Amino acid sequence: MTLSVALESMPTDRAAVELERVGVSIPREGQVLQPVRDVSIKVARGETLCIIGESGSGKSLTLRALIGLLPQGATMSGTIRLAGRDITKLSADERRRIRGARIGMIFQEPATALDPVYTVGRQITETIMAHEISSLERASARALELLELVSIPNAARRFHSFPHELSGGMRQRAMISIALACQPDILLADEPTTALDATVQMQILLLLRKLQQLMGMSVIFVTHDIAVAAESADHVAVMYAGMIVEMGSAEEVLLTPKHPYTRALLESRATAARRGQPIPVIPGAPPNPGDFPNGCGFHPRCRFAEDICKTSEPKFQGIDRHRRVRCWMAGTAPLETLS
Amino acid sequence: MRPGSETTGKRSSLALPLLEVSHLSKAFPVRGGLLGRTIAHVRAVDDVSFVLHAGEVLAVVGESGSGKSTVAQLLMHLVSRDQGSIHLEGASVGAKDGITVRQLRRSMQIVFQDSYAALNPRLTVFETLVYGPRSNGASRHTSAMRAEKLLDEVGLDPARFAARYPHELSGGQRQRVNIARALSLDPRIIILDEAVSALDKSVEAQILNLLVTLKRELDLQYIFISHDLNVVEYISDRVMVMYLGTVVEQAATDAIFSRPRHPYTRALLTSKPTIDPRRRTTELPIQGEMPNPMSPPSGCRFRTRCPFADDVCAAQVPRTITVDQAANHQVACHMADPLSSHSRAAGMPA
Repeated sequence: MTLSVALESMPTDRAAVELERVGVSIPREGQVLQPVRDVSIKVARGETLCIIGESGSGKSLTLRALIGLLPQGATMSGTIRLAGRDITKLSADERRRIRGARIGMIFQEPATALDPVYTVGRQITETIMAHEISSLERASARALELLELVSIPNAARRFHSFPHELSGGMRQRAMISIALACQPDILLADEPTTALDATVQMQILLLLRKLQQLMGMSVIFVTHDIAVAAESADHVAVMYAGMIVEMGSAEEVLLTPKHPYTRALLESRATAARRGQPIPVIPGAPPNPGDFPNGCGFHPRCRFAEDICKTSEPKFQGIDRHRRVRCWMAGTAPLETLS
Repeated sequence: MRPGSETTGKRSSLALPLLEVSHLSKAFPVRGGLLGRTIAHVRAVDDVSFVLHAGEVLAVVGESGSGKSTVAQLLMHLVSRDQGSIHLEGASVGAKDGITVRQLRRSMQIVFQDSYAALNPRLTVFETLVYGPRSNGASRHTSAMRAEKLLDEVGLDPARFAARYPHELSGGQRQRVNIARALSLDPRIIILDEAVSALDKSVEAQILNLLVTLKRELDLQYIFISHDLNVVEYISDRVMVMYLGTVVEQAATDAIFSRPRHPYTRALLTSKPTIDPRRRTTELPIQGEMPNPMSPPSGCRFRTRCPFADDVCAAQVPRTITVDQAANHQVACHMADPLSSHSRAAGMPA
């Protein structure tokens, strides 16, 4: 398979995708919710960024802002650049074209994301024909290649299968092949393995890793599962209450976390070593976008919180070039000594 | 009944088990065609035997379609079994000289994954919690006192939560209510069917701690159905591994995790993701997915995905062999059977 011209001609010195101070606002019952605030991320070509967060953290909405699939009434602020080009200033039509051809997306529930009344082969063929000038015959041949690429056994037979005739893992593979149909520069994945069994989850994670190396895509992977991030990310961004609270390489963030939330999340895991002992937990539950706390969004659950955390929002401070933390206490004695 | 299954009758402990399940089977009819006739049967649970001793947490693991939730439903009599027996403290459930289903459900309760669907949206938390005791003859006053105590036990302030409806609660709070309701009739056993799987990770840890505390304080036993092997290793004393309706391996938790014998258990363990980015999984755990349960493979049901499959695996259903008495470690694999004609019989590679 040949890589698309767009990908080949992309300058390598620029980030494949860049979000600068992206926010999402949703009006609801007289007030304006801000489920995503001040999100800035950069993903280089061929790199995987995992956004880790719990429900209500804004991780999925960030992806939806990027692909332009925000819920009705929602507005986006900030800038999104693809290969250096600001796509927020483009017309709706132009954005749609870019979305289909340059960005692919896979969802958590392949059963609902696929159209139940068309065969898998037809859905892939249609995607190719919608974005690339291609005859039906050539598009079908390419669709079959794609099914083989995502390791669907008996691809020629599965081409004519309806989504309900496939298992969960096979459906997810079919959806990946649709997302890859136009050889996108960027693949967005929203919890693509959450609904799958452990063995199949690992198969899909390994497949995504292989495809990324083969096609040189940038991947933004949203997950609530630290282990999924550890298995796939080059870089990790941790989101809480609509904001990124910590960012860095996967090793930095997961092995030497700086933010109290990231630390607590990593500590509060059930492991064999903890048998018979209570798991150290974060009290309370993650907040909904309607009642994000003032100041630092995490302060009501944070054991290091001081007065300043309740009133002022911490800045996103750089420790070095890629490593950033949004915490008033980062680097201070109480946080460093109690680790 | 399959050959060799009599080994499941041997117990490492001489004490009477709290729960003894023998040769449990259930086949669901599959209807099709114009007239909706039964065209096939899915053997969702096939000859499943296990025991639960006092103080134990038994984990049931396996992929979706392995039959673990059907086992839970059979235990609760939410679906009726085709074959097999269930004994609770020695009394046969449903037999003439045994105990009734109603009595069984007083001793055994279940908490489901979907905390919202499991609650009646038109009942307040308080009404939900008094329902069981009231319909079992407790007075209004006793039930109310009990409801308040239950809310305390599951970490919900009665003054704040008793009057709320399910939609006014978070997922974690709803699951606490479901646990409180399960406790309302003082059961001995609670079946937790993926009860923490849908929760946020930070909330999941809270609920696990609650379960451990309740077990200790109220003298409970759990049947813990889960796909999360980290959680299973944390909470359970024994693990039962299911594949396509059958038990392929069961043993004390340590034995399962440190000395797994069945190739399927090994594959499951390799698919446990790491949280250390330097130690990523590189080898694929197993190829393919579970076959269609309507037409399971002959012989060993795992053979179509097993890297060690031999002629005997297609020809014969493997016997259940006890490989370690102390851990009550049982395996249904031809390789673990010294009498089988498998080329690697009883000498599986380490």
